[in-house]
Amino acid sequence: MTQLEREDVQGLVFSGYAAMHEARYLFYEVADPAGARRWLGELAARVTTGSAGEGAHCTNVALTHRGLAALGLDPEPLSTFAPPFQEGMTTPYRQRVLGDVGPSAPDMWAWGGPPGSDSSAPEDRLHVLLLLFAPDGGAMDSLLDAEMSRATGEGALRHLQTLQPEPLPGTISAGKFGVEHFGFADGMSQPVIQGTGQEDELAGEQARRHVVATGEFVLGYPNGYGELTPSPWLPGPDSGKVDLGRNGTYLVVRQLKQDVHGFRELVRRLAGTVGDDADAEARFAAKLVGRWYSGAPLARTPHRDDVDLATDNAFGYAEVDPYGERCPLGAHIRRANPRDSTAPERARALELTNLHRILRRGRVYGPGLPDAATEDDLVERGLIFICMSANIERQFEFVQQTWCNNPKFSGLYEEQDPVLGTPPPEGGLFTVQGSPFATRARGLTNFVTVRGGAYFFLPGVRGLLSLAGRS
Amino acid sequence: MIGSSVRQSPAVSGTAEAVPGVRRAKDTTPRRRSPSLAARLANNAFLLRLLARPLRRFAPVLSIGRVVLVSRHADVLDVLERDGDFTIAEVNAATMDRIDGPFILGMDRSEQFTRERTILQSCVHPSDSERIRTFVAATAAQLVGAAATQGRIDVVQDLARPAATRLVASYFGVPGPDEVTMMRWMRVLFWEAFLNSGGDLAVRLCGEQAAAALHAYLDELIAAERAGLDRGGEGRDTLLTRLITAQADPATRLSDEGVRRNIAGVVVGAVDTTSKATAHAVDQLLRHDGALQAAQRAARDGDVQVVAEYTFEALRFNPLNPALVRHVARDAVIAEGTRHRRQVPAGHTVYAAVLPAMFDSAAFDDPNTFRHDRRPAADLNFGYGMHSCFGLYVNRIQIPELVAALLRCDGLRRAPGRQGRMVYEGPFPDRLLVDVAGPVPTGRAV
Amino acid sequence: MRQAAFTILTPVLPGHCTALSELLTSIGDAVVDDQRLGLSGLDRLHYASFSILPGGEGPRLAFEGNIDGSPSAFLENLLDVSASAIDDVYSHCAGYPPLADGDREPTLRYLLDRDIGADTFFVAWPGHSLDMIRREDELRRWIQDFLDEPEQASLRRSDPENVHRAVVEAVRDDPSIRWALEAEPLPFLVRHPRTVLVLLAAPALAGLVAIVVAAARRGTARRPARLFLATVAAAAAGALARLRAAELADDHRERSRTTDWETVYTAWSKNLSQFRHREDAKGQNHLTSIADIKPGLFRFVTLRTVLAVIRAVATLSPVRGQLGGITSIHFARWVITPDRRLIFLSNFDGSWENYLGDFVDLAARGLTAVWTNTHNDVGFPHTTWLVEQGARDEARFKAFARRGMEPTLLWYSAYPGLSVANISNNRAIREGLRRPQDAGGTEAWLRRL
Repeated sequence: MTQLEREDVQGLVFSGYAAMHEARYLFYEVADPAGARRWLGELAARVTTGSAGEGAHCTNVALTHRGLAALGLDPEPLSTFAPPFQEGMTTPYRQRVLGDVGPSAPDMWAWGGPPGSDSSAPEDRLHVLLLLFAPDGGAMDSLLDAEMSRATGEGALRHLQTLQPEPLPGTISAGKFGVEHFGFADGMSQPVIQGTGQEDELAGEQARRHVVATGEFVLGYPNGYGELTPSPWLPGPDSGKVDLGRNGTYLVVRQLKQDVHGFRELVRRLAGTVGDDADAEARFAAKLVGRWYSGAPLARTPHRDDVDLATDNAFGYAEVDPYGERCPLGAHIRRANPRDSTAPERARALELTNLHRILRRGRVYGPGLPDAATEDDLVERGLIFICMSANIERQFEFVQQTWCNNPKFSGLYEEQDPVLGTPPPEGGLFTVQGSPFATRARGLTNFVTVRGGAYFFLPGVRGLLSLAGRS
Repeated sequence: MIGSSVRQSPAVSGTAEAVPGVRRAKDTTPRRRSPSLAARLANNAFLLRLLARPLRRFAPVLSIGRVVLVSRHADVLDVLERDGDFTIAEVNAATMDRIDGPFILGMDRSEQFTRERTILQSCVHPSDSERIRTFVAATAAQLVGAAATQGRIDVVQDLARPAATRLVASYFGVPGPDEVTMMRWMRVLFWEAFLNSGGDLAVRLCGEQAAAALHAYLDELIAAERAGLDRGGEGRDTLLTRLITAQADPATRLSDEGVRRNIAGVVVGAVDTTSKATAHAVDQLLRHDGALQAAQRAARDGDVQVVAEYTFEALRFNPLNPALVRHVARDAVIAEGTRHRRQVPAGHTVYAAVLPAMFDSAAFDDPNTFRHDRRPAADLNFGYGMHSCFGLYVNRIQIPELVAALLRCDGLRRAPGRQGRMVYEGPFPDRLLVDVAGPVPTGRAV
Repeated sequence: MRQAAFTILTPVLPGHCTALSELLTSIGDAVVDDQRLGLSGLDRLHYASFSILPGGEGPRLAFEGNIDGSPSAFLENLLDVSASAIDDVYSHCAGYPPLADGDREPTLRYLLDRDIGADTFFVAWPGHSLDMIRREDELRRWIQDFLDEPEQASLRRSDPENVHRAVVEAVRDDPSIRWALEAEPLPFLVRHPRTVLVLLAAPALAGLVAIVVAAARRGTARRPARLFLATVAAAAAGALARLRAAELADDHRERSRTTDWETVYTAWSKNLSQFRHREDAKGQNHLTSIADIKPGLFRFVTLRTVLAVIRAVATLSPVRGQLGGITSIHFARWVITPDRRLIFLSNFDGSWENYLGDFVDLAARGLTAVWTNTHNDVGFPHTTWLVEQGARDEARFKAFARRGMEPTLLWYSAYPGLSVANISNNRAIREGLRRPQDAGGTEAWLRRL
């Protein structure tokens, strides 16, 4: 197999930069195409790649389709990018695919909304995403100053907006990012990219379950089918092609607002579905998510939370829980990654599921709602969801559409992801399978609202240079 | 099982007869399904040894379909040693999850495995050996004495199972609501976990009910023991109380659920395995007359060390498991650098054939002869590598003590005719009848 | 009741395409409430679609129906309800006799004469009439609501047999739902595909064995038997050689093409929004696709043979509700048109991406065997031995499939809220009222609720 060219791949593919507690995501509009290309060419040398260590700080850059056009890329190469990336996230079709309806409709987005909407960085002007990471606030300030002046100093780019996730918790262990706003340990299950060396540390179930072909996340390498995912290109010398996509990938950013108070209310209201003991609330919340607050999977410990299993990710459903009596069939993590339960034969099921994996790099934003809060403080908080995949349709959109939002998932009738979904106005349904028969929780409300989103392309370093016209 | 973790089924908490499809703990007239050909073969050590020789010679790594059989000693060690290539989670994890929750027996090399195994290990004290020996010797003498008055002893039901269950109560600290219930739980759980590959529904139901009952029972027991410890009670010192005490130190702290999982895992694996090994050892000694007489002499002289040598040599002829199962996690090569080198693709299943390996003349001189003074390092009776038996330190003492108690009986011989044949239920011996003239007073004060 | 398929193919009058397309689209945009065609009032119609397909002699209107009973009975019924709308639609088609004096006979004749049926028709749950599907879903809801009543809370602590008994009693007590306890068996073929398979296969197998035995033994039959076997072997070898030759010729054409498939597809994909107007609006989707059959008799015969095999497998497979492992298709059909094109029409659960993914992941060989005999300007991926590779080339296969699609102008589903799995689950719930049929007994039956 072709060796993975780590030095050409942006570092975000390999790491969530857990040591970098501060992050800023900056949106820019191209003001001067020539200047912007020059800026991009210089930036290519500073970009954090997968070969070097993370150093004092990390910098990555991604572009939208409009951004590539604004840089002056010709229509022909522009049309070689993946269709969802070309079309953007706000078309009526993609709204249906992603479930961005009702309060999550793009017209209401804070950024990335359709042209003419109230978005601060509307789709047509959102061109460049600069991702900056630093270990602490001081380092971030100086990095931010330096990068901002390089980008806008000579009028190459116009700054539109900055997203600022919360600093990571002070103690980080085993690369864990800590806890999202609803109180669950997050980022527990990630695919492991073949060829990164990370797969050698895994054995047995872990290796089989989570190692995914390089080409699923990095363009230019064989994907899960052993084929090359179509990659964008530039016309090269002698009527050849320059592979613009190689070592690049597609990046999805979505700002997901979480109604923490609403979630807690609902858990309190519906906890009776799963019993009337003291643990009922925690158990109901775990049923919705599929993991206990600690991260311990219900499939492994169905009765109560077990912190010793918090990082356990080597489990499946087919053998221990085929009917959802431990982890409900419609629970969030079972929808987002059904593991070995997608086909009658386990090994095949894993292979099929692994054709639809995403690499997540989310960070939370907004202050946490205190545990003792009795009413909503109306402060916005949530998750800046970032994920990567080489094939947006088969990976990110598939997970969203065919698994999370699909009312018919796993033989169910009319329910959606209980955490992410937008239930109908009369309230959503959630079935908790059990013995002797299932319990249905009714009246689920919407807790997660999309506040912005866009598809980006995260080029390889050579790709950046090509775009800058310096290849 | 939602919201019903403490659901106590009448079938489990009630009388043994109420369990549908599962026999009572002690029942010598079973409604037995006739065992499959494969099961018969697996339980027939003689036939296996006969097949093992051509296998080692002509097909040391035999591959049929998705199954690979490894039969040479060096290759078996190699397979068991390479726990990253040949893994166990695929084989055991789901079973463990169903009846207990994650346990080291179903975990591959990982932080969690190391941590939990280390914590368990740290709760074993050097002085435990003597404690176990004293307890087992007394229990065994008592059980044998009681049964011997009738002139016939069932090695499985009269001796090994009750003795192991009592050790579980006394040393591991899990007595169960009563001994009969406890034995039935252990049997039913083992049944579901290891004998029920066909997924018989009645058995599964019983297994699940027993698991739920044991779960509820252990929750209460752990709470009670913790309360006792909190009161500063210097009372019981068992593996369970040590696990609870160890929670005080972050380095050895298991979650409450972790304590339950681990003690349950240890306990469920502690009864029927011991009884199987004991029955096998006795059965083999009865087949080797010279060895039997020598072992009896040693037993009467109080030399349990020598009895142990005979016991484990006997087990070599019919070990607990004729083969250990592993999953091929990634494409691997077995017997690299030899003429029988073979590539095995990921996803296949490997049988590390322990029994043939223990008759490999490369590791055992004159393997077909019963010799009690072999170098013990080569034997695979307790497995090898990362997943070698956790209870080794117990059973190295317990099994010889049980065997010794029996050997001390006068006129020990196999029950005549069909009665004397060992009867299996799945892979577990269910009955082994021996006749005795009467117990002989122990040659050593216990 | 038997399910049937009709595919009515009629030439569109020159210059009428736009008007026809607009008419159908306007009906299709609100197909459930629409009163013109009134499809939602037809109690024998599972799925229907209208689309305009390219043809050798100009565009043609394709009217697809998946119905209970015979096409003629259905179309009569349709004309009873909405003769004037049908008249409006078909007045754009060549050879149509306008409706005169309310005499529907010529219209019916016109439609029936142009029905080319289906070469291979797949039905997920043969024998399940629309009425039955709807009633059984109603039953499922009824039982779930019953179990969810607070008064029934004690059942949760009860054992499965008691719960079952309570449900059956409640059903019996409600006259509106009592029908569920009566037997409503499916046709014999549906219930006993294995028996039929054996009945069909046994004589054929016996004949073959007899010939082989005759060929091996001395006797008068030896010579003709050997001759027969030799002829069959030679024919098979010849067919395989011919197949490889055809595939090599395809590879050669592929190498010598001037524009690569990615460029062709990229240029075409600008039209994608036409399909997406309707795509993924509901939980189910419709796919209309057309491709040219490759030239030559060989490909034509091969395609017909493959379709016949798929038909046989789909009819006799003991595992219902799936086609080649794909469990999301309600009704699908392949139709060979007189001008050598292959139409594929499918009514399925979930998204296009999922559906095509299933094609690649689960049924690549079967679908390769069909579509490798066809082409469009993207071209079917490189194939060997009729079934190998082909659709396994995920990106190109999806591009080929997309390129072959035509917009479905009007599409009707009688039960957009029910998946293939839901329908069978509802059926099992109903059957299990009388006696749980699942291997797991009453417990497994309760799991369905």
